[in-house]
Amino acid sequence: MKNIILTLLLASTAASQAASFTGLFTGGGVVTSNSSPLVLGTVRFGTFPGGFDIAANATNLTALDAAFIQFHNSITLDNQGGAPAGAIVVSDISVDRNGTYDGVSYAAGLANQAVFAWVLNGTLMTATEHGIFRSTTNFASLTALPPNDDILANFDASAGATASVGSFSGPVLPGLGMEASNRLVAVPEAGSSVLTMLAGLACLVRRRR
Amino acid sequence: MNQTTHALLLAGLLASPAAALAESTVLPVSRSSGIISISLPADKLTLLALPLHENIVASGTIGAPSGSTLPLSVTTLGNVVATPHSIQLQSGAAYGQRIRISASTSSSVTTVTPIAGAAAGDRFIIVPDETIAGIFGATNNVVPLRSEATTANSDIIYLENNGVLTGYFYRSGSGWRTLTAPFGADQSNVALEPNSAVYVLRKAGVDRSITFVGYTATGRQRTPIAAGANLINNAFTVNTTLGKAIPAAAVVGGATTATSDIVYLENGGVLTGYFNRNGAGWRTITAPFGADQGNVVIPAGKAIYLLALSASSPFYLNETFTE
Repeated sequence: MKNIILTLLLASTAASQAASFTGLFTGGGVVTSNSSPLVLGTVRFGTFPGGFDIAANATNLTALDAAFIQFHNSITLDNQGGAPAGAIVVSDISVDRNGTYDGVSYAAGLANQAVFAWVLNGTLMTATEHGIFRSTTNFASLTALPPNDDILANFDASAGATASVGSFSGPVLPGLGMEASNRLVAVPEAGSSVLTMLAGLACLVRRRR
Repeated sequence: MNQTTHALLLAGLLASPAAALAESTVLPVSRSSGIISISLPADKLTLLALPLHENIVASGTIGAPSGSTLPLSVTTLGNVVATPHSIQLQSGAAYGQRIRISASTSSSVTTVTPIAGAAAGDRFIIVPDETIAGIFGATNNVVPLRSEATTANSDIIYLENNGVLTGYFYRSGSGWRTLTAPFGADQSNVALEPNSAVYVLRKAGVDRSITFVGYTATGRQRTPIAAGANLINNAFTVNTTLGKAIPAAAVVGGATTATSDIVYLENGGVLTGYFNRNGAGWRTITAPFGADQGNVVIPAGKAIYLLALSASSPFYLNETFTE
């Protein structure tokens, strides 16, 4: 079997005393709708504001993107860390609790909010499938002590994660835990919805001229 | 801790009437050896101390230090670098200081940093430093802690090095791994810093315990402090109190918590913070003008979590009843 690994291990910042963020899909791994391990794509970590209806906007990437407060964005890579195909490990991301993310301060937008992972099989513009998973971990409060200021967000079914878009289902990928995978779903005219919106805006501008 | 040493010590201790009769979790069999069992309750954190030395490799007095190198009165010292060891001074201006050894000969050791205040004639001991495998077993067979394929439901242990806490878990069927590299290299041989401890975060399941057998530590305990989080070993096998163990001179005390070192003690999985207000007495961080907390008990087997203002914190632990 082609051993394509989906793991992103960024350069260690262990010497730093800053709190760190780790996002994990290591139970069942991430699969596309046709059950193939996801090997290239984008994993975005952040949160959705309370009251935003994710399900109602599941096919509207533009609305999702506008609502999403992004903490970190990773492009998945192949064959790092010896992880089985489908596993995603994003680690050693520094957490700045005095920082601003997507124009919102950590304190106002992220602290104590649930950590979501938005997984796409491409970029926001090119993705044809995606999934949004909510971990049981919250972004650390402003006053959390080490090690509780570190954020370990686990998106496995066994960790109690839930699928806001997509699902948990088979197959069990080789080398991973014996649990359901994080399965992506198609975005109807996915990436093109963003393009369509941009095209529409362009037409409006042209008409006004 | 070396399991063979465990077995030999345990056999000797169990043969003594004192050990056979004792029912406490703390069994001080003699001044030099003992057994202590520490609870690791499910779904709670435990500040796990390492209260006993596996053995004492060498002891004597040091000669005049030359930088980080300390001449020793012994001339037959074996290899104390292949596996991690540290030297602890037991008298003099650097009384209690314990530092990792980075090189050695049959009659000298070199430490990773110079020991400030060390002087010719100071008494020393050389002891092994613990590793993850030494405490919990290379195959997690000692407690055992809860282990699964992922971090989701596995117990987690945190070790501290220079103010940074790193998490490890036993990946079922694989071995000890860091939380951030669950498919990375085995971490069994990662050594605890001298006089450091373990922050154990247990998940749901059954209550566990861990038993240590070895030689009791004596005298003041001191190790370099980092700004921020420090896991400090409570090396003693009897209960002590905040006021007795940590005198005002051992911490930075200020008018507020913002200008003080903060000592956290764990009781039943809950951390409570204390600071020495203006060096005058111990107070909780939530009641800075409340009652004195000097009589709060630091149980044997429980470590101390120190949030130090800076690396110049003078922190040390007194041996109760001797200082």
